[in-house]
Formats: sequence, structure tokens, C-alpha cells
Amino acid sequence: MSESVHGEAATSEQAGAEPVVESRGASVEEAVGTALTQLGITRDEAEIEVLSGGTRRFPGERLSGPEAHVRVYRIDAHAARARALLEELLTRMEVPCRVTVRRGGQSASGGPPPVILDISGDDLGLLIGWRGETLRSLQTALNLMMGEDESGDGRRVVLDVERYRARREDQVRELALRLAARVKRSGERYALDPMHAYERRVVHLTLADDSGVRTESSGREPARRVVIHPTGPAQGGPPEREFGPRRGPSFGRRF
Amino acid sequence: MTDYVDLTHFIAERIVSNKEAIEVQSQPRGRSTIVRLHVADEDMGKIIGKNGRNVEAIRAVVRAAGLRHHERVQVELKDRA
Repeated sequence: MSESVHGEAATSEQAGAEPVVESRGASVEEAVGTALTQLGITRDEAEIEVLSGGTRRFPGERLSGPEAHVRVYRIDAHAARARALLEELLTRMEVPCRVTVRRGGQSASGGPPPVILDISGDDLGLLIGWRGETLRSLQTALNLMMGEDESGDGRRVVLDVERYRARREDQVRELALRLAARVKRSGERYALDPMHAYERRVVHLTLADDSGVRTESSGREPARRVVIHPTGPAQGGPPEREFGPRRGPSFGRRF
Repeated sequence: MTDYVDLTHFIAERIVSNKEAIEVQSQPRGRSTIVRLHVADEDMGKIIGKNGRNVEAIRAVVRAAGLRHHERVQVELKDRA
């Protein structure tokens, strides 16, 4: 295969980021091959983003069809090992899906940045479980299986399924705002359902700037919950209507 | 059909230090499948974890694999052979 003829690659190295190469070719395979050669790495050390699929539907169409366009970047040994291990685990679980290393994962607590692995595919609710319980277990199991190795420097592996974490965070934020409005209206405090620490944190942060309410966590794990207190008397006002007749802290059993 | 014994073994052998001592068996019980996991005494702490966190994670992963087939799979940790 004459990659040098068909493929063209451009390297861009941002400060502090992994080396990235964008490359074109008659097919995805060819474009990826070019990029890997450019980076001097193997497929195991790379994460591949297909920007446009290329379209060689039939052999021979390559001269007229649009080109494939890919972005390939190098991942470090720790991320590569985590991805391989998770892929093997999910294969044994017989869950068809794709695992990719998320770019630009940054640390929430100032520690070393975690490796974030995204699991994508259809019908992955069973990997998430009720309010993410299964996802957290999968993450615990994977981190245990990773053990402690030199390449890791104690970096955790964080798992996400179809951006569940981000979606859930949005839900919790929306819930917090809605309940804070209710607390101000009624002048009565409201205790949310028990939540995990990082979800409670989202509630606290969301309402930190609202002078009309004060939040605190109470209870013991795993039943620890956020309570929203009013800071002034009831403000009254129309009851919320836009959320339908059945209101409350419920956001469905799954997702 | 997912091989729950193989899956449990795969997870356990990457956690414990004495891999040779791992034994996994499965047997049906009613409508569930029971997977019995045995590890060396010195590895019990590691496999159980703080407040049973580790063994709960293993259970949840194997249980999730069973969900695909609408099967109930329970991992039991045997503390003596």
C-alpha cells in the first residue's frame, strides 16, 4: 500500500497535549495507516476519531469518491492498558460496544488527571444500572484490576457510558434549581433523595450563589442527602405548573 | 451464553496475588445461577475490600452480564474450601 502517495498528514502538537495527526486517505484504514506511520506508533497506542468516513463502497471507486478524514492521537501506556482491559472485560460480559479514550481529561481535585474511558454503543442501560450504580461498580472493578503499576502514577480510571455522567449532572442541576424555587416559595426546607458525594456537590455548587436558600448535607452514607433550607420567609407565588401534575424529586429509575 | 465462571475468574485473577488458589464454580439454584468464588486466605481482604466494596463491585459486574440474558447471577465468596 502506497500510503505516502494517497495519504497526507498534518501534525499539530499543542502545548501539553498528546501528539495529534489529522490524515486523509482513500479509506479510513489507509488514512489511519498514514497517521500511525507519521506518529511512529502502533494502533494499540492510538485513539482514532473518524471525521469523515470515506466512501470506498466498491473497490475501484477510490479515485472519484470523497476521501476519508481521520484524527489520530497518541495515548499513553496507562490509558492503553486501561482501554485494553476494559475491552476484554466487556467482551467477556458479551456487551457489544466501543471503548475510546477521552481527550483532555482534567482532574477535579488537582491530582493527576484521570484516564477517562467512554463506552459507546446501543442499549447500554445495563452497564449504567439504577442511577449509575452498575457504572460505578464497573469502574471500581476496573480500577482494582488495573492494580498499581509504574505507568499509572496512581491515576484513576473514570468510566462513562454514552455521556451518562454529563447528562445526570444536568439533571441534578435542574432538579436543584427547581427545588430551590419551591423552597423559597413555600418557606419550607426540602430534603432531596440520598445521592452520591459528587452529585451532592453538584447541588451545593448549583445553589451556592442563591442567597434565598442554604444547602447542607445530612445523614450517613449511603443515605446522606442534601437539605435545601430557606433563608427567609415564604415568598408565595404561583405553584409550578410546567412540570406536570406529579412533582417531586423523582427522575425515573434509570438514567 | 455468557460464561460467568470465566468472567468471574478473569476479574479475580487480576485482583489477587495468589492466582493459583482461585477456584470458581457455578451451579443453578432455582431460577438463579450461583457462582462460587474461592481465593486464598491472604487475598480475602483484597477481594472483599473496605465495607465489602470490592466484592460488591464484582457482583454487580457479573450480575450485569446476566441481565443481557435475563438471568440472575449471584456471586458468592467462599471463605473456606
